[in-house]
Amino acid sequence: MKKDYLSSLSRAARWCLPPAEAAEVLEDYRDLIEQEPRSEEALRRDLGSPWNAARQLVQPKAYRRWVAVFAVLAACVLPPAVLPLLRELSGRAMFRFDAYGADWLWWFPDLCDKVIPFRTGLLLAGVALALVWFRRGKGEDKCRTLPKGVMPLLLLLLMGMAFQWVNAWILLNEPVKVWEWLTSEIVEALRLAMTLDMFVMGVIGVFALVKARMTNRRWRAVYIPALAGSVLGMAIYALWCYADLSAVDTAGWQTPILLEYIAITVLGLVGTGVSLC
Amino acid sequence: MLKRDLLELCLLHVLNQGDQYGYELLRLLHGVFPDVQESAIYAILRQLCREGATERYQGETSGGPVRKYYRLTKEGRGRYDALLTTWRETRDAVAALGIQ
Repeated sequence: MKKDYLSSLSRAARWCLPPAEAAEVLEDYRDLIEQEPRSEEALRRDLGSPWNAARQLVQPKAYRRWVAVFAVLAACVLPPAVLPLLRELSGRAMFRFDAYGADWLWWFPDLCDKVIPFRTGLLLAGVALALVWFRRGKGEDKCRTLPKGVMPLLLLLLMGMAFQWVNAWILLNEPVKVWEWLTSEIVEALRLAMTLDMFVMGVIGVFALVKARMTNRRWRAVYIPALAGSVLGMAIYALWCYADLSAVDTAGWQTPILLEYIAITVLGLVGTGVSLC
Repeated sequence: MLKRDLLELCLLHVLNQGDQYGYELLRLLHGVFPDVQESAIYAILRQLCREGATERYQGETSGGPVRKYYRLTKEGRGRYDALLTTWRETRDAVAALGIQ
């Protein structure tokens, strides 16, 4: 029971307070709770709910700053991860239903094309802010061991990025021939798979962000490739949906596109490498 | 004078009488103000520490775990005096209205 209270308090304190302060508070509460055996009910009556207890310790300015940073980092990773999927699913027959005597079709406004031009900005802002905010604190030991779960998720993200590169290769390698060779069903399935891939990356990115705050700042090593993967996916998706194929006869038309994809990938991998150090 | 100030005054008053073990301090204040949760008292105590009115140190114990004690600082003593003056003025003002 006490463990339940402490684990809830641990989550609340690690979310609301900076890491060092949260650790100190938890130590104090552990001491307080262990001094006198009390039931969970008595603990909640005497100490208040864990979230309430943590909120009372919040320094408003510092907490507002953290919430703002979280909002910016989430806003960098979520639009490239979510908007293409919503765009893909919008208007599909599977979302058609009858209600109130009318034929309804789920439709999502096309925000995707409005966000696409800002993709590089999202990547740069997200990587820079994550590296600065979750940097090593003064006096913090250089820890070599990675938190559990980081490596499998990193591998998953790298596989996701590899899948996006396969899509890029299909598009950049003589697209007209590819369009002739692929059936529309295959194209649609590939595009949907890529948007799902980006969505999963976005979810992993937000999860890593929360873990970086609440457990170990080195989870930023997962956030950064998730962000890079989502942005790379969005860049490829933009070529897929909005590309003007009349330019494909010009020699070397792929070069600037390829350079952008390489830059995004390299930035993501370098950011990950720095985060792992 | 708000209840929070009153709690702050009580904390400083107890510490003015001598260093206190954190747990005992919270239980004592919670006993006097049962409607105030210990987490609220702890939050005030932490704020006093942050503002330099109190400081904590690890006390010696025979065999048991290390205990954290709190003591008043010079700054805290000044704050205690100021709060005590406010409290006396408030009490006198209320008494002047015939409220006992």
